[in-house]
Amino acid sequence: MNPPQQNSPQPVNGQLLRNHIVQALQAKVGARNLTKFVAATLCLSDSAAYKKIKGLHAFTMSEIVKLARAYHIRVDNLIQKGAGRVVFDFTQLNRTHTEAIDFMRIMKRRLELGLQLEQPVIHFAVTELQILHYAHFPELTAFKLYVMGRNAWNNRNAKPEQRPKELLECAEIQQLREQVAQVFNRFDSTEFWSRQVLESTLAQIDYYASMDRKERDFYRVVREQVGLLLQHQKEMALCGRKTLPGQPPEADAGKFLMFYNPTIYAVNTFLLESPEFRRVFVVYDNPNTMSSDDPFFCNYTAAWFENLIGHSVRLNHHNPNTVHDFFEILLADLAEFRRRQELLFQL
Amino acid sequence: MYLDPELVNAHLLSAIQIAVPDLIVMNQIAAAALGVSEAAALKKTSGQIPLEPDEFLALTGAFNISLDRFIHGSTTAFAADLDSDATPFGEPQLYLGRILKKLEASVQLPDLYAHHASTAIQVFHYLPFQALTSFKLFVLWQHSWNLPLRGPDLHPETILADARVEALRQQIIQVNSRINGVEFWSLSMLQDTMNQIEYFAFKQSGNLEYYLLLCDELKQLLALHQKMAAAGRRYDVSGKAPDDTAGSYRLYFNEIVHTGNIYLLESKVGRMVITIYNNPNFFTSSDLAFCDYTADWFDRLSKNAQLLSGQAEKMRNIFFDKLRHQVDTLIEKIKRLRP
Repeated sequence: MNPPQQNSPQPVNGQLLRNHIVQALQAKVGARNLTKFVAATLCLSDSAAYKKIKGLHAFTMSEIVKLARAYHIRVDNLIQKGAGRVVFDFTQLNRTHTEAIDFMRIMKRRLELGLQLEQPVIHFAVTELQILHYAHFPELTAFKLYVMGRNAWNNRNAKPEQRPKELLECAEIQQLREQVAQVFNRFDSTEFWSRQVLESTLAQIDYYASMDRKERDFYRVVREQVGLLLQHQKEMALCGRKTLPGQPPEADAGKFLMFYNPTIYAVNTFLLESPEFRRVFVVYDNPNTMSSDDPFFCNYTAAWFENLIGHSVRLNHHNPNTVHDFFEILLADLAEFRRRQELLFQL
Repeated sequence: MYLDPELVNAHLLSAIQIAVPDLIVMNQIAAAALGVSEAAALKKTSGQIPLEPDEFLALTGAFNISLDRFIHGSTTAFAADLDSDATPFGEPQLYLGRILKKLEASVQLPDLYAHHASTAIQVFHYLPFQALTSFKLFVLWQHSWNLPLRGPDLHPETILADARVEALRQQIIQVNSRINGVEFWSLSMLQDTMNQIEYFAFKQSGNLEYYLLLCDELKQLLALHQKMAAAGRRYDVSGKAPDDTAGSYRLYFNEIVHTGNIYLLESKVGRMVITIYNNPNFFTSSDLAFCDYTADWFDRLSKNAQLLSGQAEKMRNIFFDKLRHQVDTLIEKIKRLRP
């Protein structure tokens, strides 16, 4: 797509790929074993392998492919090193469809890995409710998983879709949901909420409730749980700690800082940070998320979050009126939505 | 599925041809990437002479193709370019200049078609409206770019007083009007901008007429897009009938799918995804798998959305009336600030 002059191709110096593969191999098998492993993988004598490793003879491309495959060496990071170029990992590129249970397993796994880091912190810009918010609420979670299955994961073509009640009755999903909520509770996190945070979810409830009116009681519960979610967030903002809904913080509960930003448009973005590790997760087609640990990109995002703090209103116990006002606005939106929906149900 | 290592040369060449089907353009890109003449590049791209390993690197980089995809079978990695100066900050002239450059390069592509999903009005929406443009750039100036205030008299209008910024605005409007495309709007389309207007109106309540003017321009923006959706063509803000160069325009109502701001540019010679990251900066990627994924996503989005263009007059009127009602509510709030 780009005209040639807009690309910044790597100089062709004849050694770049070879050096990368040799260095990566050496890191995996050790310098002492390098010749032996290369010789075995490529069916060469030790002497021929040695000459290739030292650059006296060139590797062919098919040899590089064999080595990279055998030792799981990625090379795209080597290619994509232009200024501003970031390599993302996006697991959806490999999937034809996603099951709700896979999504929940991946979430749990990611959170558990994150928690193993030293002092992990999640910075989180929120424009739409995420699983990390609604995992405390079974019906709301089942509903959101259902919506994502229909719209983001293209599951309708793959097999009979899982209705919200089936998702609610799936024991493993419910177990994973509880685990996701519990693990996330242990992270320190900073959240930046926008005024529009409920809009997408309310529009979804409205859409599916009007299509499936015999399930109106289920949708009432879902709607009530949006209210409970707001109440829960408010409690945590005032307390400064993570809690389970309606309960005091547990001993290992993470710190919780909440901000409201009225002026900066954001996409749903997470920065997972610890002294030894950083990774940015960007929600692309919600909830599908691409991520990168590229240092330039992580620095860029960290600077963006810092700026966001500077222009946001802090919602904590020092400003109880501000907290109250912010959630009152969201609760008023929800009350208006409830009124309209009840009217619809009566028609 | 793994490719035969012995055939990796042939597979790369066919991937390059899929990425850029125009053979002349493809060969020019290859020659530039390999640092050789076009004649020498042709011998490589036609498969007469096998590629050396680092030539693989150069070509996969130039054509935004994942080499890992060849080596490891399917892979989940893709590359994207962050269009900024390595900081989240910028300034109006640089920002609009980058957009114009991108647009001008894009409109030269044969049979260009732009898909755009959004939950907030973007630069192409507000540029035709002077006060709104200066206000949006002012908000970016103060809150995203953190530029120093130019004295106590910095006001949104002073931004467009810069002749270079105003010239860029006019050029972008003109180039954008030639692009064929489809847009997906949601009912929260105006929320971000209305929040900003409300925030500043409450903060600087001395100049309420200015904020009412912004609301009026928001309504003009709605009227313009309603008219374009009805006609199926892009109009300019003056409202005069579109000429032959005006692009086609379709509009859908995306009711339930939460999206960021995502553009997919499609042309005979390739595809590109542009996605806003930390507004107003954006990523671009021509990675084949990522573009395919995004094209599929737009396809699904259109199936879940309601067409507002052409004959869908009733639905279109309801949709735009709802958005106008939101602006009216904001106008009432601002009027209540009057002493």
